[in-house]
Amino acid sequence: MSIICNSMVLDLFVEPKGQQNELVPEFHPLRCKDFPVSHWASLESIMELYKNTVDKRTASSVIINTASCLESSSLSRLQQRLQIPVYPIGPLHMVASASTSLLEENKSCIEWLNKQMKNSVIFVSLGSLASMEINEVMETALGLDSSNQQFLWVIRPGSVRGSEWIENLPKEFSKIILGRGYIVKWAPQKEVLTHTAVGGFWSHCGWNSTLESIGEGVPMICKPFSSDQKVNARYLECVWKIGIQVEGDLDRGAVERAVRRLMVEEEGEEMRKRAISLKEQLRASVTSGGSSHNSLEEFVNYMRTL
Amino acid sequence: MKHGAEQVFFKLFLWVFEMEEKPARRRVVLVAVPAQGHISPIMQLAKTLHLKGFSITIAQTKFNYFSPSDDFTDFQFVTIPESLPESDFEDLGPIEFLHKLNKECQVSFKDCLGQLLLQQGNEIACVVYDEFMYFAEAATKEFKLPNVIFSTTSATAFVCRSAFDKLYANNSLAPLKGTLEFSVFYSC
Repeated sequence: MSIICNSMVLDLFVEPKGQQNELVPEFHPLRCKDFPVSHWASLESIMELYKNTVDKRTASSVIINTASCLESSSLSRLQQRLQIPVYPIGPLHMVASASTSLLEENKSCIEWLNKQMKNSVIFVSLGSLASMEINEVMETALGLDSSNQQFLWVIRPGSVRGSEWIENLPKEFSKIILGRGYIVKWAPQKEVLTHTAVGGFWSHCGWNSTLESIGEGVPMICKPFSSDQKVNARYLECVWKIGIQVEGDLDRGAVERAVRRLMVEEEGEEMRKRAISLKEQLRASVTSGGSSHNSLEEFVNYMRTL
Repeated sequence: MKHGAEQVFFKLFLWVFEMEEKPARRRVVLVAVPAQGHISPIMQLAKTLHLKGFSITIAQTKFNYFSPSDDFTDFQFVTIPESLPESDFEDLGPIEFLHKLNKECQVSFKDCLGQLLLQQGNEIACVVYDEFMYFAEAATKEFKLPNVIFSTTSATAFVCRSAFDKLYANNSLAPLKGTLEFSVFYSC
């Protein structure tokens, strides 16, 4: 029996897609498929763009929205590579909050959250660019439903392919939502993540969402779509250990399993504890004497000499 | 005589004190990528620098123009002239759109910055541009203004991007090639 199982595992690894699971040398724990590529362009076009974005040209310094407690070794590598001062001054949303949304935020979801129990809601939002097929939305909804957890779901107009909003989804979708969910077109994300009812964040893992979630001590389910989101997802799962990545095709079973692991099981509770510890480290880094605070002071002092 | 020297010293002290208390209010020009994920952090950065005593100018494109909320009443907002049709983002996808946007804005940002310099005189301390708006550097070089890059991604993602061409050249990213071509084909 065990021999059969082993050969099945082996089969999975030798199929061509398996190569994408290989670790990229010197980038542990990033695998080939975690590298920041986009589905929207050829590798050559992506490479050309990246060459331009990492070229320091005549810049005197680089400021970056991160904190050394999250990625000190990457920051050292970056510093070494660029040979100009690199100032990690983030997370900036903890330094200066401001209303910066391009879409109108529906604040009614806060009232809905007020009626829910502590850590009982999973917040689902896939950011400002990603879109899903109707069947992926349905599999997510069915998985959320069978997880028996409450959920707050942001569905942006235009983000379900073949539908303006949610009007073309099967009737079953509305039934599921009425049962245990609440849907908005866009949410005041920072307020939502701060809310005590929110116990987890199903996210595309954009860097801002990642920082906002860690900044509130909320562990994540990671479903990255493209570019740097995949790097962030891998770090959430394997480095900071506060995330569960859902890989491959979305099916209700995988959704249910991930939500229950995060929201119900001991494993999720451990992640929540680690997320809260990271949140405290981030808060310390932006307050007086902290690393990001000091970096900002250094940068501002440099600016005053100009 | 002694009294006079004390007065001079006192005036000097006041002058130094004033210099320290009220540094000249310098202006920072920030160049934003027209996408939500980039607008949020650059506006947070702008607010941070404003709190530190700098005046702020936000340069943005008309595409995805961020209409400032009450949080930014003290800021100046300028539009970098470009004539990209709204449909370009959908038609080209984000990567090709960014290539085109950078080409389109390279010259027009020089005019834009030139006008700002005429308006603001020597008040502009430097230009901070989002790493994806690299066209901005050429204008700063022409006007001999210091420039600073702002990265809105993680340091790890930055390092990945900087190693991309080397990894591509030694075939480390080869397994990705097939899937990307398939995706491009699929999206067409």
